[in-house]
Amino acid sequence: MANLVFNITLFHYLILALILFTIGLLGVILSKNIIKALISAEFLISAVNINFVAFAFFVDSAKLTGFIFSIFTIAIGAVELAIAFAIFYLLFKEKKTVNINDYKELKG
Amino acid sequence: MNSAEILTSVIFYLCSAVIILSALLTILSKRIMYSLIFAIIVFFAVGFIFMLLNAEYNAIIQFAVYGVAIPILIAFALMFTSYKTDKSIYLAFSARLILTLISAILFVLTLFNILLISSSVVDWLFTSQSSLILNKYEMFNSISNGLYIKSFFALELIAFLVFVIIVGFSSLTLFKGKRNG
Repeated sequence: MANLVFNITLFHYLILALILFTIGLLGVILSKNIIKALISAEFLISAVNINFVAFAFFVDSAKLTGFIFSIFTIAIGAVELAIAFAIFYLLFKEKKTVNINDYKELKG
Repeated sequence: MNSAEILTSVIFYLCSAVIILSALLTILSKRIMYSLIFAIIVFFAVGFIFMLLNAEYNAIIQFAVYGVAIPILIAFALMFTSYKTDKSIYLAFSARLILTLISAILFVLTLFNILLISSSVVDWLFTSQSSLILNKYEMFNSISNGLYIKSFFALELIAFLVFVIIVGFSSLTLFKGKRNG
């Protein structure tokens, strides 16, 4: 038992990423503030990055593909947030609110 | 078990606790500025997790992008949209909350079960398997080789994507401004 606690393995990192991903998912679904939902979406990307880096460290420590892909994911996450804020700001100029429930015409 | 392993585990549990608590406080905070501050703490703690995994390259990028750049973007978004504060905007307390919580618990239990099942199939899940430990120079060299040689086209694609998005957003904003004027 002490070995499982003090010997940090891939399992520990996967559990941490799973908890962070779940919290981010809850934030995206439950938040009524658009900005808070977008911040929660970044938690999802951070959880995925932890998985990438942990797998690269424990399984693929020669080629380090997970490390490289994690860098691409960080760039994509930043771009996604910028685009989301741009769209949100353009919508905000029309509606003047940050409440998700006021943007019902986006349902299609 | 040597002292380095114990120190690593202590740092890991500390960072994990900070990540989980701050992520929860991000969602549960009523003021959006507090949410942003807790989110910054989460992003920095994730960077420290990267450093524990010998990924200093990723940790520095995490600190620079998620620790500094994205919070500045979010802070500007808050400043642009905060002239009309709506105190009622918090969490969606309704049937959606209960359904989402139940779904989240099922999601966690399912993935935890999958992890436990896979631990009996693959033997590296519970053992700190690191057959090849690279030193700092080799790690940097390997990442640079992968980034600038092996994944060169992906890197160029990302750069092109960022460029297109910046130009597209600028032209979109200009177009919108002309229409409003």
